[in-house]
Amino acid sequence: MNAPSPWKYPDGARLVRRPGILHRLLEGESVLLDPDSGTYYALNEVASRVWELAADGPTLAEVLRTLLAEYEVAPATLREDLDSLLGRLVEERLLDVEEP
Amino acid sequence: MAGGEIVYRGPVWIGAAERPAVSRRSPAGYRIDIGGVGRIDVVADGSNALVHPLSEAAEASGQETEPARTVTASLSAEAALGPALVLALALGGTFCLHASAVALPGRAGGEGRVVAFLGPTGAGKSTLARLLDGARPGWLRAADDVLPVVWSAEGPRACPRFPQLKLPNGGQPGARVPEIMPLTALYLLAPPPERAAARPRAPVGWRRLSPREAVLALVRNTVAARLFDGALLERHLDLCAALVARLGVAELSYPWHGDLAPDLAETIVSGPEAA
Repeated sequence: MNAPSPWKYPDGARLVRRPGILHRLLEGESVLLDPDSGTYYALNEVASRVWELAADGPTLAEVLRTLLAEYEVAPATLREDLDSLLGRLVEERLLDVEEP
Repeated sequence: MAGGEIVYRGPVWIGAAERPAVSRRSPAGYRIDIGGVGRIDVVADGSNALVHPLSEAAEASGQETEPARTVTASLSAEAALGPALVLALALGGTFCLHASAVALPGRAGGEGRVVAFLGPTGAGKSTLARLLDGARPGWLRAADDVLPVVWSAEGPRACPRFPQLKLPNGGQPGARVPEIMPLTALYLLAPPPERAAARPRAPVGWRRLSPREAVLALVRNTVAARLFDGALLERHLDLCAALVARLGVAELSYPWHGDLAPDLAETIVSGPEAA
């Protein structure tokens, strides 16, 4: 019997930006705007990179591989941070994570 | 002008009171109904805005007419110079910041320039602009509470002659400066120290906000942005991003008492604008 995954989102899940969300990138950081609600969101550098990568609808595993190549970070730490970030983006209805 | 899609339903501040408002957007433009005041129609390109005081609006819609005396001339004027004008300007690409401002002489005899101080009500915008008025030769208070900003071919420009509703007609600071001037620095006023008296030697200082902090500071200190629809919000976001890329935004902190004008003036000429 397999141990349950500690992660909310599986590696094979696909990241899809919610249509209509506006995005402006400034020196590596970004601001998102949900025009329906008029709510703004500020993303730090790593979160901005995730948002940028999500434009192509990648799997979570693909995003992890890209980020591990770009940042000096322990894989387990990155996995945990990414799970948490995706949870917040989904909660704010900025991004969908489609299960495989 | 027909009804249209609701883009905002909530309070607006007019006549020293919160009033219920509904903003609707249609291809023809915006229609804003404000409780106890009346109706505002702004055409889609911002070239025309009309304020219909309550009695006239109610008559047109067939509703029971509220006594006309409930809408004073000053309320109608505030509606015209507030949401109506701000929305009309925004549709034409000029967005109004919640900011006071000072006009400074140009460098080496060149064109004068404007430095703006952003912040919500109570942040000290008016106080700061008054402190800096005359702090150095040629320094003039240029705005008290609202500063329209537009991106021209030459870069960011401020329009300091916008009527400042909190000031009497005879005390409009923008009357002393050109209609449009280069905007060269943006400051966000830090919250006042909780116990200013306990920290009499707190220095005047500034720190550059990160790009995302700076964009959020601009969008949060824009007048009537909640009345905008998605397309106008996007144009507004573009202007904010362009301002941050060109000028940045610095947070200005100062102890709120004592003779600060010399230190503040020095900070402004040697601060982010110089950096």
